[in-house]
Amino acid sequence: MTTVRITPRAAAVVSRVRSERTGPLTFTIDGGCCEGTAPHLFEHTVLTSGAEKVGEVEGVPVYLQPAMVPLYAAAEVTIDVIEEPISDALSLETEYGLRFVLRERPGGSTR
Amino acid sequence: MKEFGLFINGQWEAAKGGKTAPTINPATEEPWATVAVGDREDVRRAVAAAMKAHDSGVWRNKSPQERGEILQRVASAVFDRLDELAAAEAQDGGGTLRKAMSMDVPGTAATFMHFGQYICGDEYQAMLQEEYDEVMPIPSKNLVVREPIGVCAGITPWNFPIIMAAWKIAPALAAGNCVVIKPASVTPVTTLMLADICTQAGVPAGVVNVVNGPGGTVGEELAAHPDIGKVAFTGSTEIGRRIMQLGAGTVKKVTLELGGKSPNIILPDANLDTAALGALFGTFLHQGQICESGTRVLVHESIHDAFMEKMIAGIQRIQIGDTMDMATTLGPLVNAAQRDTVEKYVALGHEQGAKCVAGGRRPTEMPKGYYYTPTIFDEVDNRMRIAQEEIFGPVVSVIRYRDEDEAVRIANDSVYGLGGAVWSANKDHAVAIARRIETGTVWINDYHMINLRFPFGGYKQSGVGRELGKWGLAEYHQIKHIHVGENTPPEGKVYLQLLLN
Repeated sequence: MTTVRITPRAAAVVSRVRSERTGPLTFTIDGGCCEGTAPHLFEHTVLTSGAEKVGEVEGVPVYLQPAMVPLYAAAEVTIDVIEEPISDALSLETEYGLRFVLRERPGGSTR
Repeated sequence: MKEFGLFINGQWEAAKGGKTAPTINPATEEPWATVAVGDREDVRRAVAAAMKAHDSGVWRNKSPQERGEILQRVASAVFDRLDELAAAEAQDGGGTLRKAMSMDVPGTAATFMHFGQYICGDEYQAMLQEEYDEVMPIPSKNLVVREPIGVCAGITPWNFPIIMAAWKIAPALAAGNCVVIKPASVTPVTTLMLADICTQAGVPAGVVNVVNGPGGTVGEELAAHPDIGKVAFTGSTEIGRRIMQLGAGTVKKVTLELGGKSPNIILPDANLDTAALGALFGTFLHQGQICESGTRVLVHESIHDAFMEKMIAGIQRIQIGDTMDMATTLGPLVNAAQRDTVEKYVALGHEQGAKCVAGGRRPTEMPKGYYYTPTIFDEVDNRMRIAQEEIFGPVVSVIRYRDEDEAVRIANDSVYGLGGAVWSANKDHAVAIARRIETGTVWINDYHMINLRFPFGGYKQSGVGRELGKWGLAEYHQIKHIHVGENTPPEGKVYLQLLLN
């Protein structure tokens, strides 16, 4: 089963986004192209059929897009945040010069 | 340090909020230019300028020949500034100067030249207006005409900044549209320079606008703005999905060119020397930061060992080094986060049991810069994460297959469907296999040979719509059917009987 956690500093960013937005927030995890697999925080998003809820961080549900579900079945992932003066992801934290990233412990190793 | 503003309505402008950000040279990890960072208000200004230019008719009312000549002038102007643009491209994104001089900048000029010439030709005239005479259900002449959409947004990635900008701007302008481009935030410089070049070459003010800024504000505003008629996006699948959602509000036309995990199939009768080098080219060009890279090399078991020997030996011919040295063929990754991602997947490859036979580390000879060695994993199972997730770095997975059915099954076992290749002495047989592969492009005995005359885009979650060629140009048009009926007395309109006795 996929385990999702969030670092305190990333949690603080989620709180900040929540205080400035009015709509429901959702984290989705999917990949592709220049960003690779990454967490995205969206307001009023439409979930893909087959997306699986794998946890909740700071009251925000976290979903894996369908293709990621089997790949991350045993993964322990942590949503962290890095400084990125401007990021192209349409994820909400990019407004503050920040970007959520996915850290993980595949089979026990740490990154 | 060089400074760049936003490019709005034919002029350099500061961002309304006054923000700027440095852009980092990935080879030195040092800032080399400062660029204005826009917000939603800057997008609104740029869209208003584009809308005004569109409504005025200053661009769309020009004949295709007039527009085509201006686009060809842009192509010449890009070539005139080859050295300057190539140096900027290499410093901004970490690509080699060798690639920028021979591919990025000439490819940009060629894109403008191609579309500029195409719209001056007969084939485009025929596409702009088709005529059909009909007798049923009522006699009529029928015109099918193509018109510009209006204001189109282009959102581009950091791997090929100037070419990606050209792929968005040139066909949009050819079709008579105005554009607002959001370049990738880590590589905005050459797109801004290109907009300036367009204006100097005679593209009227307001037709090409560039707003640099974060995806969460500038990107979202562009994707949702009611005056934008079309969004063309190149980037990640998850952001592509979000752009479709945001465009749904005003039912925008959307073209998306997204992720890939493309299969590169080596048949037993292939020229193994060429196929091995082609596999290296297909995965390590631009440090593997190409969406249609052939990151899954499928090798028939009978040739596996010989092929691997040649592929590993070929790595010696890849020269890591200073991006500004023309001898260098492999530069750094775009930033530290991208190298972190590569390192994570290399660790995952080891943990899931793949065998690292080359690379797998940072190069000791390059202490500065986000460099990573070309890395080959052998004995990969297609369900491993390194074979399913896009790494976007110099990491290739080699997978064995026993027969062609298995090769095709593995090739298609991916949510993506962007590119791929088949290497074989029997071209007809290779084409038959290519037809079974669920991707938008398949090369036979070549790789990365994207051609401006032919469509490029993805099956499945690799995208929607096509770029390039007449198929890509068609995406920048509205299609209108005009029915021209006869001016007859009422008896001539038999359909009236459906309602009237």
